[in-house]
Amino acid sequence: MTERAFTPGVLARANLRRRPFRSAGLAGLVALFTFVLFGGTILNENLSRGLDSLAGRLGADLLIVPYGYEKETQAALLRGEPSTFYLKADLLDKVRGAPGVVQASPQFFLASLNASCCTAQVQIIGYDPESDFLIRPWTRGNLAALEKGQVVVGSRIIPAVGEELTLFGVGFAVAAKMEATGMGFDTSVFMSLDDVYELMVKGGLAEGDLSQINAFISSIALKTSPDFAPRDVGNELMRRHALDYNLDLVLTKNLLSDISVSLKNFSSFIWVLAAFLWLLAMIVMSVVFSVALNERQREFSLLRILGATRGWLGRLILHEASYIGFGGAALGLAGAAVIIFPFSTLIFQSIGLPHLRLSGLTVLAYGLAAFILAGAAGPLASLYSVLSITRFDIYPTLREGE
Amino acid sequence: MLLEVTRLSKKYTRGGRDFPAVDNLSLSLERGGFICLLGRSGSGKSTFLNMLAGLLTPDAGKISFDGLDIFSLDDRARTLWRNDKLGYVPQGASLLSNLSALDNVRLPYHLGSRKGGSLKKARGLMSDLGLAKVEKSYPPALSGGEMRRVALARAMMNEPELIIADEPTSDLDSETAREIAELFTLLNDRGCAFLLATHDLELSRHGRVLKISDGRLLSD
Repeated sequence: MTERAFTPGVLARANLRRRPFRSAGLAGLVALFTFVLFGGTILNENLSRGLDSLAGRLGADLLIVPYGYEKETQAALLRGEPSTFYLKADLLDKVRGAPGVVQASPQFFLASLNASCCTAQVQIIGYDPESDFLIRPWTRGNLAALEKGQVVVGSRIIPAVGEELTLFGVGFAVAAKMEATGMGFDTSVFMSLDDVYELMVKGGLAEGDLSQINAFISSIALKTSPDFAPRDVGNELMRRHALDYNLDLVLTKNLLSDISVSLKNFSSFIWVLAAFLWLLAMIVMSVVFSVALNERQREFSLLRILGATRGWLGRLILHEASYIGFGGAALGLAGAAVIIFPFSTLIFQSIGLPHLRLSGLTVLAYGLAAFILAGAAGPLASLYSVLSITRFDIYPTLREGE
Repeated sequence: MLLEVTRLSKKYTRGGRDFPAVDNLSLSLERGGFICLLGRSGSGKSTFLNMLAGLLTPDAGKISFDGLDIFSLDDRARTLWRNDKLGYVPQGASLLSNLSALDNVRLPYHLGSRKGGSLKKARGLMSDLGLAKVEKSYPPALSGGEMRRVALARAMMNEPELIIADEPTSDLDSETAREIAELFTLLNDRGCAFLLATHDLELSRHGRVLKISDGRLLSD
């Protein structure tokens, strides 16, 4: 047997080991709080960063899409849910001349059936590199130089730069990979409009010659003049062209504010739940420590008789509470790490909001903060008991505890 | 003189009226002495012993241990004095149930300011008291006699000058009580002074017997 001195910490551990159910129950409560706090904060921050990135880089004020495809466009942009829809391309010139429109750039959305790169469908987005301002902000400027037969892929598409990606049996060279956007762009493949049209012919997706196919696009991104309200520009375009072209409009400001509201709701829910659990953990632990103090009067009196000072007993209780608090916090962090990190993709897909992953250092910082906040609940909850124990008289307490 | 008690008094209040638990009691105990305090339940024995151990503050009187007035010390100093100079065996079950028998014996050694290990010494004591086989057992697995002997080994751990035991054989069968009494004699022969409170006549055969009733000493 190794010789070990009886410090308050050693005795506290022995006490906790001999009361496994009580110790595990209290630690479990702290673990639950830590799990919600840490896991919720990480999810929330991922989403916030995704939204900030979206708000900071989404260059378009308006998106013109076919009538009834507003939701599909949002799903394609935010979540990368593959979708295909058409709009007559000659609308582009008419829109460019409309009052309040500064820039207009077309996109062609094409859902792949399968791709050698991916286990699931990917969204193919054709665009005009010359006029584009929707995609460019995420591409480190390397889209403009795209040549025929080349694609730029989203950050979560597997092939690396220089490798080949096969779509509908047609091979494309990966010229560049985008930064993580937290949006549907991460699982999209970008190519020039001409390449999309050619792909449709070669892949047997459309019949007829190219001149017939390239008469269609899917959407037009618009940047409006600061002198015009995007909604007014949109209303005017609708008045002029809605009947002829069967249009719908997506106001990106609304898109962002909808996400922002969802995010705020999610964030509020997490904070309220975390605060509730923290309070619950504090109350339950305070009550349990206080009840245990009464149950353990004889034990504490015996320790005092044997020569434990009041300070020593206070340290004993603080140690027990700290082991429960910080042990539970570590358990909660581990649980959050095991559940949230491996399943983050699934979680974010089900939430359906843009997100960006935090750096390892940031996650560590949040983990440390959650660990300290949750762990401190133990010692804080034991303060009343510690103060009580420094006041009791040994002999009467010994008799009461008999 | 190891212990000098002068005109010690302690009152309790019951039903709104004061009554004296210990009334103007004086005694002295020399080094290596042995006193048996004999009296019925409620005679004031336990209150008296707890004041001697510094666990209960008297209303009046003085307790001098080796020339030191123990109630002139603050709580911390008195606690450390008790740890260093006194072995105390409380009435009833007094072991910590979360520690093994061996760790119960070792514990007082580490509550003071001593350096070094306690294992060898604790094992030696347990062996002397016939407890070697139960050192890893926890208190619920021990018999009444074993628990009392562990408590005695624990009281001996810091080599005290005085051991105070409150009803040390109260809930033991006569055979076990006799064994415990023999242990007291053995330890007393090694130089440790004893002050016992009991109503067990077997124990009172050892040393000087003082009778106490209503908080007062009746005879010597």
